[in-house]
Amino acid sequence: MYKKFILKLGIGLTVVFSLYSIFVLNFKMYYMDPEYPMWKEVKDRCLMKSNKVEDIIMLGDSRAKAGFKPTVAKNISAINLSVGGATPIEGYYTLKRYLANNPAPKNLIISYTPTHLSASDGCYFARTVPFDFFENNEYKEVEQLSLKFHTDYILKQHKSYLDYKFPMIYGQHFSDGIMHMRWLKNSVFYKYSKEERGYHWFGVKDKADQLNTEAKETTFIVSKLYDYYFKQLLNITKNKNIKVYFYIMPFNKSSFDAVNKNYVRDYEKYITKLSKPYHMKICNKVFSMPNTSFGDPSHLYHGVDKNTLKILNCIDNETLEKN
Amino acid sequence: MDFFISNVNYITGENIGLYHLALPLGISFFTFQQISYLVDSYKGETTEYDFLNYALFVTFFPQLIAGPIVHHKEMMPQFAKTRNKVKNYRNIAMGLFIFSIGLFKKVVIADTFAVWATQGFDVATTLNLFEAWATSLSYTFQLYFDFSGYTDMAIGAALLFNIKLPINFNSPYKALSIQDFWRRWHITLSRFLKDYIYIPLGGNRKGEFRTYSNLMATFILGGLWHGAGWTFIFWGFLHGFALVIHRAWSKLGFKLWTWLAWLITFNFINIAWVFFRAKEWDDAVKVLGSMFSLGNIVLPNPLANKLAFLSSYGVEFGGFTSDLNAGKDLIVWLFVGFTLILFFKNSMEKLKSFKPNNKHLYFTIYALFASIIFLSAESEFLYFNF
Repeated sequence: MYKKFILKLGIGLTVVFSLYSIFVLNFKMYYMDPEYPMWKEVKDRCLMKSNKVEDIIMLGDSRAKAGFKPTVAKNISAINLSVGGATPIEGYYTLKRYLANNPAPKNLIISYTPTHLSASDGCYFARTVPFDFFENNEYKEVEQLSLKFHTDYILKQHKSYLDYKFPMIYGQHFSDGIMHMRWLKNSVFYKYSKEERGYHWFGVKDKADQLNTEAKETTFIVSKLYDYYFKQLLNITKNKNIKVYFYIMPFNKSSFDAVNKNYVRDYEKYITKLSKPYHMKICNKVFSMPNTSFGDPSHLYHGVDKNTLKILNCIDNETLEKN
Repeated sequence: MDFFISNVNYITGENIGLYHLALPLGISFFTFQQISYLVDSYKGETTEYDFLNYALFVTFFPQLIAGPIVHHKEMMPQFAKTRNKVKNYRNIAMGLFIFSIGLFKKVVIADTFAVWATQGFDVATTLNLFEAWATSLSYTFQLYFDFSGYTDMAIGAALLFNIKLPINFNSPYKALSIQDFWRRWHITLSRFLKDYIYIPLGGNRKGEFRTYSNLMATFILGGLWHGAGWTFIFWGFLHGFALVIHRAWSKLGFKLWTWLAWLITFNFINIAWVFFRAKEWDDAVKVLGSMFSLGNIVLPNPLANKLAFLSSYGVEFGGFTSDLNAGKDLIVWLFVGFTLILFFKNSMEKLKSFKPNNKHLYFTIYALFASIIFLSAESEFLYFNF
């Protein structure tokens, strides 16, 4: 009787863990973080073969995702390929993949906050890898370059993309997914991102008075790895003859008033230095919008339409007039 | 050593360097076991045992680092028994069952509460009234499910080798007095303190005053055993003092209503754990100060319309759990915690009624599955530190 119990327990656990493994590795939309559908939408859009020449593509991080709404741009065809937490690493592979399946856009706007050009906020192993955003050879390349540049971005975490082939690593995501019934929300988020051509909100408050990440920083030091990928990204635009712009997303007023001026100066200096050899037009300097334009301390919400129009103002009209 | 030196430095104004000695895991547990063996050998109460069995007694891995604190009299005869060296499917099935409960308690329940306890004690600089109570209760639940979970796993792992470890927890938070609590909480520690400190000091045989002072001394030493720090000593003092009060109260012959007795006992334990958990006095003061201050009440936003009149009494409306980075799940988990400690059978009672039926099979599969899923979040056992 007891022997049979142990046998049944062994069989039961094998079955349950096999089903779990199949589920977590293949059906991430049902349980993953709410950012997963936004990332998947961008990946799917890049993989979708098309002959359409886009007027504008936005490439950046979450602030760019929440700060540029392509549907606001009337008579202009635009898409937003930004993803939350992204650095130039994600930007480079996104653009590369997009261009492998689509013709080059007329204009590319790049937007990364200072944080996503300097220290890591852990996005790579929190999103890029678990969200299957890259292919295996791309992960390998990132890890090798990380070693080459001695950046602690990847190394300090003592992890590899191969760890994420192991189903148990998704345990926390899976349990959170069940507790928060993410299968309901995620499909809605995906649909929304798709309809809005890649735009998605983050915070949805009517006002955000708190400080963003940059307001707490004092020194801006560029990561060698990000710098490498940023330049690679700009090399693509140069080779493909894409007009490229850098737009700095607004800070909320509270953060703008609190941010260290030297930090801002060094960030702007870095962007300016990059702009010359790659003919990248810099649209603006760090600026602020009222706290009421923000849905959280970092992301625009009510102010997105106004900001989108500001971005469009930066684009050379001649590239848009041909439509 | 460092505790002693830092106190000497504080009193004398000297600056003697600290040693920062790295101590092995579970040192206090295996030290106690060997103290008891040595003391009993000195008294001539030990039987002549095989050295290999003695070595096994001090290195038996399931309970080595976080207890239960076993006595040679209950362990060494089991090691010597030939029958225990034969595979026993009943013990294996029971061992896996109790192990799964322990793992679930530790990984799913304790580690969930740990996040809020850590946030409240170590990260948040201010707490409102609800957050302070949620912090202390989170730690109270974390400690119980963590430590009793470890014990269940130790008992389960030992059963795989046909070794029965003593019960260490018997629904301690159902206790109706502080004396009752110590008969239910870390039972093997209480047994050790009684047999090797309280009774040798004279126990209750030398009059009332000596009984009280023996109780105080035993519990202050018990506090010190948990960690070399004034917060641990004060926690031991509080428990010793509570036992003295309880003893004096019992002599008067008054009886409390059951619910009131539970409420007082549970709250005392919960408050005392604040000192046990706090890394510094200031942390304890922060949590306790907020638990008993009516000037920092924050209620959830949805109540703002209905209870707007409370604003004139200083009550605020807003993120009432934001300092703990918690949502509604905190309230759900606190409710689950209370339900489990008050209305459910404990794991030892469940083990007694174990039958190899489908109900227990599905439960074991679920508990092991859920635990392994939750294992991807990193954590450590609390009692490894003691």
